[in-house]
Amino acid sequence: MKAHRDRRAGIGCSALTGVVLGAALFFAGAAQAGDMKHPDFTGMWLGSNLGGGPSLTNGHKSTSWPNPPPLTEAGKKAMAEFDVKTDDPPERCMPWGFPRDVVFNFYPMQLFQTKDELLMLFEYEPIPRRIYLDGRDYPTDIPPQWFGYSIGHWEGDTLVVHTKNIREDNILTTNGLPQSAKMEVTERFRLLDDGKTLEVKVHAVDPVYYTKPLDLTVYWGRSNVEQHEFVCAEGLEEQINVPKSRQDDTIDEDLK
Amino acid sequence: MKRSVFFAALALVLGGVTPVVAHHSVTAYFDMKKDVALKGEVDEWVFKAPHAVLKFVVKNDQGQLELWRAETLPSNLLFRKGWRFNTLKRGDPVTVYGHPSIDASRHAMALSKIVLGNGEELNPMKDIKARE
Repeated sequence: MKAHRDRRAGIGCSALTGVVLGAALFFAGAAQAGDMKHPDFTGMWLGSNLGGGPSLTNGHKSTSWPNPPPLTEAGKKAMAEFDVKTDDPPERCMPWGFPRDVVFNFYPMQLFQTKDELLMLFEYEPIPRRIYLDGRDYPTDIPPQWFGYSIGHWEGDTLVVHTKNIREDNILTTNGLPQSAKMEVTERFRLLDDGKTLEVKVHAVDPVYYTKPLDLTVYWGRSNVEQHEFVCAEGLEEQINVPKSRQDDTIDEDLK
Repeated sequence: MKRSVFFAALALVLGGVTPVVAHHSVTAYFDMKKDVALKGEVDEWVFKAPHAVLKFVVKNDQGQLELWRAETLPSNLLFRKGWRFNTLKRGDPVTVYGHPSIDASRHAMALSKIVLGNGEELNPMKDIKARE
């Protein structure tokens, strides 16, 4: 994050000191932020699952989890017992988490890349996802996380990210495809179309619930949309999944 | 401000597909095989997360006023389609089309479209022009 702040400070200066100096500072900042040896994913991205579909992602079409899913007996049982009204975290304004946030890409995602970290800001989520690129190892003493714990390394122009420590009280899809605490996910990020498209190949292995690995590919297109605040709790009281007793159905005098 | 409000529940065949929206399941709460159309006036346009909600007042066939809620896409997604916090204003006459709550005691629906008093149609799946 520090490197990112440096870069923003550089952009701020450019307004005061002129285009040439500003550009110099910008590129100095960029050199600090990324490492120039690898593609830079920094920017705003829109997913092809949004209404616009492949038109947002230069013609690339995202795929879905395999259908039918290769469920183990435990997977079939978990799916049969799934009740969307009680077992889907976003119903309670909890995060979509991982891997759902990457796969189900209705909202713009902003990426900030430094040589040590790739930070993902999802419009829907109150928390960022962190992918560590600094060579650290997985911790052994933190509880399962909504985004798991992600560590990445470069293979040429592809960023390979491996994630574990995922929460088992989350699901892959709203129809209840389960994920266990043993699920581990490998993502392969690369830029296509001169940097205009981000491809993410997702490979999930979960021996508890699936007989085979699950694969899909998600595409994001570079975009200039803004992210706005999304505070799930703010309008929650008006939603159908909130008990009627919590809703105010008073009709004001001027509408009578 | 005296306005005529009346209740009408109609079986309608509506084109298009109601979207899978974020936050909560639609099919768990709304009967997607049924369509209703209700005529009334806007109480409040709740342009917020996790789903924008149009609260509106209708008169039922016993002549009593009821407050209804029509849920649609999250405000952030609607914003990018041109919808704004003031796209609908308190007192606006509206006909609201949607899929009713499975629990009939809830006066709620999954919104399909809104027809304004001047005949203009607002469909959350389509881009609209932002209003003054």
